Amino acid sequence: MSNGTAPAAAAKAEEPPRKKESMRSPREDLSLTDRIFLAIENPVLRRELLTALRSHKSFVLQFIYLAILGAIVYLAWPEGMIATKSELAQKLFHIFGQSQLVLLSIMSPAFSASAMTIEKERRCMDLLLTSPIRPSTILMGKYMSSVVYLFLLILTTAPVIMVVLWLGGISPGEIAGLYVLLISVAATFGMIGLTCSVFFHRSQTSLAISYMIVLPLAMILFVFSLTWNSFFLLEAAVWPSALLLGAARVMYQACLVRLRQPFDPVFKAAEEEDVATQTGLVLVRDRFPDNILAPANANELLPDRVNPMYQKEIRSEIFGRGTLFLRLIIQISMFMSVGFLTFLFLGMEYIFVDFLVIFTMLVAPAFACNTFTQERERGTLDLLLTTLIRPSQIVSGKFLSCIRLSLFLTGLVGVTLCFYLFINAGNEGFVSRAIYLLIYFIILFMTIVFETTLAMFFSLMFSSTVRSMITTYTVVLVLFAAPVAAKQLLIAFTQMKQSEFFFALVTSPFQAIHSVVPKDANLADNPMIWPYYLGFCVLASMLSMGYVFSAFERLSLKASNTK
Amino acid sequence: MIEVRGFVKRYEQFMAVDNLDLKIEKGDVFGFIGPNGAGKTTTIRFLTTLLKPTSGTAWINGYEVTRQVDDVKRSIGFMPDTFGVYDGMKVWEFLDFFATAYGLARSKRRALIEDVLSLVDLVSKRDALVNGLSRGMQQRLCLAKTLVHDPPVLILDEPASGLDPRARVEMKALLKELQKMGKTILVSSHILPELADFCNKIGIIERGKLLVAGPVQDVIRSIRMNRIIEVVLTHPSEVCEVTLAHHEHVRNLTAAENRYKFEFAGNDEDVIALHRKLMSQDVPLVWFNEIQADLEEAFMKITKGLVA
Repeated sequence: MSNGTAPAAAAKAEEPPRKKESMRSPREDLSLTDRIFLAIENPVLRRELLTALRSHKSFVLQFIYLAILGAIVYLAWPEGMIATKSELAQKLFHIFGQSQLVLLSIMSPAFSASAMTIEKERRCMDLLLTSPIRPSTILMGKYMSSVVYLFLLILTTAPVIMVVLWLGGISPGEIAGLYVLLISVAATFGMIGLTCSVFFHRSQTSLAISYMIVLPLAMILFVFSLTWNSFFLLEAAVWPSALLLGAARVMYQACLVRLRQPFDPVFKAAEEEDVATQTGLVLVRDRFPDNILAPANANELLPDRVNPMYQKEIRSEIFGRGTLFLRLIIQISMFMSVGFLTFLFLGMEYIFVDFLVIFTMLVAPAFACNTFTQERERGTLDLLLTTLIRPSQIVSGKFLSCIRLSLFLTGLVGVTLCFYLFINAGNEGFVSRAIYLLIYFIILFMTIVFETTLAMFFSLMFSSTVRSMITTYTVVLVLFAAPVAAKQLLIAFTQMKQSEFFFALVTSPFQAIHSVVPKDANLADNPMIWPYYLGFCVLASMLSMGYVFSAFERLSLKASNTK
Repeated sequence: MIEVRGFVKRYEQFMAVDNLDLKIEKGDVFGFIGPNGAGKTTTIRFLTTLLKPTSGTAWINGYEVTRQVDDVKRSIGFMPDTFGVYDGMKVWEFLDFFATAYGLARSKRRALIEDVLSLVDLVSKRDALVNGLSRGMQQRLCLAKTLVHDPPVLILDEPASGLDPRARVEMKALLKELQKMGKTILVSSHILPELADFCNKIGIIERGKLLVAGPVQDVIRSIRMNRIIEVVLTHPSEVCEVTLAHHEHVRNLTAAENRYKFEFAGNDEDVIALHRKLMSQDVPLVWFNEIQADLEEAFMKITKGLVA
């Protein structure tokens, strides 16, 4: 017995003495007040806020946000005695809330969807994870820095809504309800962006997926606010708010779990591919319809006399973004289209086409906004520019591959629109329906062309993909949706007629779509808008592409001249 | 093969390269060295048609860089200092893409790709994804890309940067192989001993000015002025020490037991004369040798550590 225990005892005696003090967390020695200050003094949050506040953009954005809301209130402000306008005040209050919903849904992903991906892209993730900062501190710091600015934006609108209070008819409960809902929306949408940035490797993918999730959610909330008058009442608003915040909490926990796992700093397509395989989200290149999206990955060399750029783009680049990304787009859009199909069967096909336009708004810029920025970011531009490929080949190759991809994805979702020919044909003949359908398809096609050329234009103008993407989304949204919103506002609150601002509407595909079928006087009060819209698309696309073609040769010089 | 005349690149008030003249003959391996920000990459970007000069011009393989852009592109293989690879592309697809970009016929491409892959020792990685390759392999793949259209001139900007010692040795061997194949190579690097190994000519640039250029040993000698000679005896000798200390060409003599080191200001004949003198004095000579000039030492001597 003693023989067996002796070596063990000797070994124990040789073990270096453990430092018991080190097991004790330094935090345990701190007072409660110190601990609270430590919790607040999140180093990640501090760094983020410091860099954000050094930039003038935050203040410019805040000014624009308030200017838009102020302009809405100003335009809708009734003339004459204000004490008798409570009904109008209700309307104004609702528009105010809805506008904020729309603005927040656009801005939230832009703030949070690149929060973690940018650390991965800059290879700073290792520095963060190997520091004593805990994953929860990193996550909370990133999250708070993304949403705190949104909260600030929401709160700074309080003076504007106080002005509306003068009109009467709005209860404090409604104002409280509106702000509870807006803050919950900002918190949740911000968390959706952050979750995407934790799970994806690239800002571009994270941003696109965030918008794919946030915009449908915003649309649902928007539809609720349109159809339910007491939606902003505190009693009603707490339910969707609680639901949203609950979802945000779950996402936060999922992010935390992901961050605690070992992180591979080097992006590997295979890693995403594994996730995709496990979830069944894999594109099989040699099967229909996936082979329309991209040719089978044959072991054949490129043919002679082809545009190598186009071939490269469709054979590998679209898969470089990860098939998970493509599949997610397809599946989310398919899911959304099921709801919108109802409108097709109700004879309101224009609502379904509206949805398709929204889909193109998400997809086309997502694929085209990195055409040139990505070549610069990963350092392949010099390799290209020292070959014999012509700049026109590079531009046209990239343009055609983007168009092909966006058309395929939109076609996949929009193919059901063909049912329009047969459903409720009623008094209208087959031929007239076929003509309307053709016009819808032309509108969709030209919208994709316009969005793609615009995204390519910004991709040439900016050096970062994220900046190019956010600018494209913003410009597309302003051109497409702002005229419709302004029209609704002007007609509801002023005596202006649509004919007075006809040309302001030609940039909106929604307006064009609603003017195709002149069956209802309310829907088609401007029957000639769609040809003008097509004209606008052609002109704008030609200008964008003209600039891109002429400026591409200067791109290399521009890059080189930046010392 | 490469000739630069009066190349000037100015960015507003900042002069990146100032009136650079350079001539590299066919088959030369020219090491282009200088501190960071000296103007190496600017010159290389000009030669590879990526940069418009403020003034001056250059010819590569007889083609003018600013005018005959396509002919210049056909004549050069360029490897930039920082470069990326395309995601989701296999090694052979990457090379096929660039071979097509240079207009090579499909019938010739397959054999060409195999040849360059075997030259850079990446045959086993033929079907691997390029973004999954290690840094060293990506460097070799980029070198394969520069060779795919068989250009007579190679312009390599820091080809060994970021490589581990083994990959660096492999890269050096590869460049020697290319030298044997008769390629004219312009290579910029910070790793000076390695450049001295395979370059026959060097140019040192600082603050946009070419300080010196020519055959490696000539450049070093011109910088060093005096040769350094080391003498080793079997045991210390007073005769030897006195002879050296009083010799008209010997400077800065240092003695450590049986070992003497000094600068020698004389020519080859004077060296021979000194050697004969020591032998005639029955000095127990084991070693009488001129210490070879060191590129690193020459670089440190000529540059002032100023960054443009």
